[in-house]
Amino acid sequence: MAVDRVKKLQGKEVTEKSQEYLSDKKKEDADTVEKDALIQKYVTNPPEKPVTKTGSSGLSKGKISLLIFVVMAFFVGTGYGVYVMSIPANNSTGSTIDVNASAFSTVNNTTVNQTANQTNIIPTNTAVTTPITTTKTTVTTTPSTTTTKNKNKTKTGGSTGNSTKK
Amino acid sequence: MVLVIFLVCAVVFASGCVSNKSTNTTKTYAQNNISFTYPGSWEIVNATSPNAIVAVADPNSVQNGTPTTLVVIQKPDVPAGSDIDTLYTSNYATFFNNTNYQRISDGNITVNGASAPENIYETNTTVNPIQYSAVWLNENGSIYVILSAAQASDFDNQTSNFNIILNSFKLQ
Repeated sequence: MAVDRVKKLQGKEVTEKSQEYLSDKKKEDADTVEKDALIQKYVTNPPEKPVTKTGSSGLSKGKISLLIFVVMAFFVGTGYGVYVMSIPANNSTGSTIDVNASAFSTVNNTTVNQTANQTNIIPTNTAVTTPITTTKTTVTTTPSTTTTKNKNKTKTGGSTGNSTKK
Repeated sequence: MVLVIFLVCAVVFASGCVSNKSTNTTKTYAQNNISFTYPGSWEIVNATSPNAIVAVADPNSVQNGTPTTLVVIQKPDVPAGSDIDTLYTSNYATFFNNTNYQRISDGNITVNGASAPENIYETNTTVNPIQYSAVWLNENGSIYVILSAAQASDFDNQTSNFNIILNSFKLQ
């Protein structure tokens, strides 16, 4: 039909036979060739649209980056936690809390000289450095320390230290 | 998305395991030729007692800046091979003379299969008295005194903590 219209426009005769012609192969072939030629010459196809690339079927870049960050954070955190737990216990005395409780008797060794001078023996009852051996001897020589003037008799008992806690 | 959720859950579960683990551990002290374990919540404190080697205390027992629950390990300056019973007796013959302590009990206990003299005494204060337990140990000829202290009202509760140290004490 398009070919007939073109022929009419060109002023060519349009034989009715061409519209009814089916049995003659030569005319049909010629007609077909002519048709193709005319189509190529006059029928314009719309320009092909550029093939647009479809989006990737997987995760977007942002989601992939987020996933990588979470995975890295997981392993970094786990690794740091294992590292901290594996640090050996610190046995150094970093504490500033002082403890002076003692199981030893703290009689002052200077009682030996009491016969010469009336010394003011002040048993502190706390941390006086008197090893047990010296304590033993003083007991035999000066049986009484009750004569001492206990001016500074400190309270023992909780004697557990001085507060210098940070 | 499923993987992200799984990772988050794994992190949360792992952090819970870490915090749960730290509450039931003990610590070990291994210096100055001795070693012992002590409760994990306790800390090593500065010992100013005469002939003290080390002191550990419960930081949660600090009152007015001083811990009331503590253990001090002392090594008296006596010749090697000294008789522990003689030293023990002579020490406590005078210990209560000019102090504010009152004797509670005096006897022997068994530590790691060996008999050890123990003296228990208490401060004379009426408010929050402190109770002490001094256990004298003879370790291969060397004498060590493990002095445990706690408030009298809490001393029995702390016995298990004191025993951790007593039963694990040994020379290196």
